Amino acid sequence: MARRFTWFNATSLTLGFAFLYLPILLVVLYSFNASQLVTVWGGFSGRWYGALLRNDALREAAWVTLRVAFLSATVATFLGTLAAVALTRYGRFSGRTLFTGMIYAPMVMPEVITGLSLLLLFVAVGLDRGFWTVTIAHTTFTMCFVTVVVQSRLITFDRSLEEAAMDLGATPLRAFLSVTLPLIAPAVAAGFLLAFTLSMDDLVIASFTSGPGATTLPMRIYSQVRLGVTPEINAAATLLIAFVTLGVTAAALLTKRAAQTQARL
Amino acid sequence: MNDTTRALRPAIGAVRRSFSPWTDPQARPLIRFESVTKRFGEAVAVEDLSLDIFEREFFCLLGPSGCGKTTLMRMLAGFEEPTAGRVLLAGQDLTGVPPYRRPVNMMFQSYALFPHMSVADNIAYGLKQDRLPRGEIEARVEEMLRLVQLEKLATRRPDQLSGGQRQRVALARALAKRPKVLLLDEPLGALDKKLREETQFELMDLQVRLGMTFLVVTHDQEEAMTMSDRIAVMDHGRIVQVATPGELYEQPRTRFVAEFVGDINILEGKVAGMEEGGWRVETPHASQALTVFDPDEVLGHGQPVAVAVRPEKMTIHRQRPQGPNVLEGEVWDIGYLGDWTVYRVHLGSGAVVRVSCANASRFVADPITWDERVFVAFAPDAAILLSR
Ligand SMILES: Nc1ncnc2c1ncn2[C@@H]1O[C@H](COP(=O)(O)OP(=O)(O)OP(=O)(O)O)[C@@H](O)[C@H]1O
Ligand SMILES: [Mg+2]
Repeated sequence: MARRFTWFNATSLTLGFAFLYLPILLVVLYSFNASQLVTVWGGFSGRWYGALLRNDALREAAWVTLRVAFLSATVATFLGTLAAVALTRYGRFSGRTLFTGMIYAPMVMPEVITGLSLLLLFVAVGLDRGFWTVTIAHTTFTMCFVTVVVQSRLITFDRSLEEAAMDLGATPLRAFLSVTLPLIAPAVAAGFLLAFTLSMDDLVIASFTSGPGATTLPMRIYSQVRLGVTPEINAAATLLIAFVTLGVTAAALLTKRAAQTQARL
Repeated sequence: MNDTTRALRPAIGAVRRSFSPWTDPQARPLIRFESVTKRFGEAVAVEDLSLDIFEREFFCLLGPSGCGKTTLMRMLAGFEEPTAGRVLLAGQDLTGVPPYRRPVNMMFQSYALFPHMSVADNIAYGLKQDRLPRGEIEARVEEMLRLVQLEKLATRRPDQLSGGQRQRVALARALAKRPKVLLLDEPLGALDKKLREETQFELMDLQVRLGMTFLVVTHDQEEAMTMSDRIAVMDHGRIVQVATPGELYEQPRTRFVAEFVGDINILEGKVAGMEEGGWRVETPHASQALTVFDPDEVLGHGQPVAVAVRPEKMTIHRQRPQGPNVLEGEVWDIGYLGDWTVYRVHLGSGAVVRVSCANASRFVADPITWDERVFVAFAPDAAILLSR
């Protein structure tokens, strides 16, 4: 198929991207608005970022979000990598298809349902809702993304490298740590960043599983917006967007680099 | 010839001349495969195979693709467990012993170098697993680098090396631990012809110098003949014949071996009797019955049999020569190879035989040429009878 420039293509592309990014662009733009009124442009200013720094509630929420994201992404990366190794390695154990399906299921499960079921679980076991319950919930739902990213790398990983390590006297664990892990590290790091960003911008699951004293940034923004949008919220949202963009871009770059190192050998 | 090879020459000669533990009934094998079978689901990769390999032997596994060579080797290295039977090393049953506890190292078909480590670190990997003192590891790595002549490339990564250099690193890495047995899976597969031949001799030198036992997989029969003390020819998971290169070439036991190792002409026929110690074989390819001296075969009258003759054991003539075993035909093709000339002669029966003649002199006044009528002859003891 020839890739020719036509006005039709250009228009649909422009419209599509506008549809996707115009709302985001507006938020970013208005976060630099000098005016108190959200919908009226009053000149360029960074004053809302300053106000943001002085807003304790938002600062508190940002700090909670970062801690939750870091902790849940770390645990999810560990568990998700183990799951990926088990699923690619141990050949055709019975029920493998079922397991693979079960790993993917949370990705397509409506968040409301995931949130609700986790809430029921926490209530059932009598766990007080707060920082730890959000962290556990985020670990659960981000783990499958890590598994998918790491698994796609492991599928093309040359098994004979690990066999060579074992042949030279390394136990399976040492072979994994000294040969496999360094080589799949970019994929693992990409999985971590993905889990981190997913946790950071989650609202639904956090709302279900969080409790007093553990309000995350998306939750705080959402509740404030219901009382009316302030330019401060725009500034907070812009920062969140910047963080997420950074995380996703880094994850994509790492995945690409992993593919390149592999192609070289 | 450089100094090391000159110094080594007599040593190899002495070792090779007198080395034949397989003929000694008292000798205990280092490696023993005992009725080993390996199945992958339905497919049988190795079937009821028994084989003894002796210490310091240079042993080759030869066979067509998919005949089970790699599988056999992987069972010795510990990556596959036999479905039935067992593998013994120095009398010890290896069943259930994981690869990292076996005193056997393998050079992989794909080299399997660790791409994130330098050449030196690749070589040191096995030594580090043994937790040797650092000084000793460094000394051993130095020694290995010298051995494979890669001192200058110690800090390079595998992706910065040529195919031949990678192959040397893989070899050095497998040798570094001084294993009792070194397994080499198609070690020279990726090299061009010239480098390949050089490396074959280097491997032989190394094996004698280090006193190790080598088990080498190849599907290049010339390579197997050049390097090994003994060769096992495999087909469909079974061993067809185990013999020295000379025996394999001159006394192949089956048609498969005869055709797989070297070039051979096969003339189908029927046993017509025994005369003066030679078998008489009637064949549509010759006007008179052929005479073959092959004391190994016991045949019945009228039994179908093949007379097999190597191309270089046949001679080509313009006039009908005296003696038995003369075939008549027309030259269809001449292949000039420099050292040899190969004639393809079309017999009256429709069969084509290949005759090769050494080009002993530079000028031949009136050479045999295309479409000439010629006679092809061979001596009764130059042929082999094959009933299988
Ligand atoms: N892991 C496996 N699962 C299923 N079948 C296998 C497996 N490994 C080998 N086989 C089969 O066993 C047979 C022998 O394979 P093997 O790799 O030993 O052949 P080979 O003699 O080394 O061939 P080549 O010269 O091509 O390397 C083949 O038919 C192959 O398809
Ligand atoms: Mg093979």
